[in-house]
Amino acid sequence: MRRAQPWRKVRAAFGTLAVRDRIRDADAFWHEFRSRAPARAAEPDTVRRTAAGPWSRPGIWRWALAGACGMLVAAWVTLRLFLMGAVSEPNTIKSLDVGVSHSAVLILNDEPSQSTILWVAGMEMRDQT
Amino acid sequence: MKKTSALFATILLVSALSAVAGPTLSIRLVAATKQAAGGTRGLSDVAPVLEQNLPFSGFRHVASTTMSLPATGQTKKLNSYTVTCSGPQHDLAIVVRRGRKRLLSTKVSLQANKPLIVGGFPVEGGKMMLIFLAKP
Repeated sequence: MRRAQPWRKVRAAFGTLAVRDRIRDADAFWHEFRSRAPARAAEPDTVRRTAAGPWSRPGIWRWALAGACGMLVAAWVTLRLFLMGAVSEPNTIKSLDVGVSHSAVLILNDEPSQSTILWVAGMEMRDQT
Repeated sequence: MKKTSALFATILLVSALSAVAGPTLSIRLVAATKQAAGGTRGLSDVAPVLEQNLPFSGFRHVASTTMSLPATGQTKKLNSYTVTCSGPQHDLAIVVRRGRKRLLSTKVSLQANKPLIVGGFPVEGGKMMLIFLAKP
């Protein structure tokens, strides 16, 4: 078990561990490099292959997902507006039954506001219970 | 990038909630009189229609209620009137009663954001009307 060294000994300790003692000369380095290079090139380079191509760019899948979500929302909004009567059809009175005596019924479509007025004139409320 | 993802997730969530909530039907009870009522509070969206098409000078918002569409036959009370709605927005059955007396029954196809004004119910000094508005 190693004991903690006092600070004044650190410098001396680093001196004994200095890398310069193990530095190889340039010829030895290149000799080893050239001997190992063919073997390294023959290995399947999976990292390099997966890193190639536009789909590996960082964040592209997030943007693709965001775009898909945006298109989904846009399609939904369009569909909803269409189904909810964004087309310029007026309200329609399909049937009407007035339960009290009256004199006339007026149905009016106001073009500017796209409103419909169903007005029952002359309603008699005397028989109200 | 996380913020972008969170933003789109929020948009999707809001859209989904909105889709689940579905359309709603608002019903307003309005009193029309020959005398100016001093403003059309709560009626700003329909005030021009009322003022230009009906022979009254004053319009007063008396009461209002909402229900979800398609309506399930629920009855809403607006002062002395009760309104029962059933069916989907484009085949909506409406029954208007005052007390026990049925005033009218109608079946309509409502377009979104296009008001339907049903009126002519006599009261002292004017008429009452109901304004139906489907909102997506």
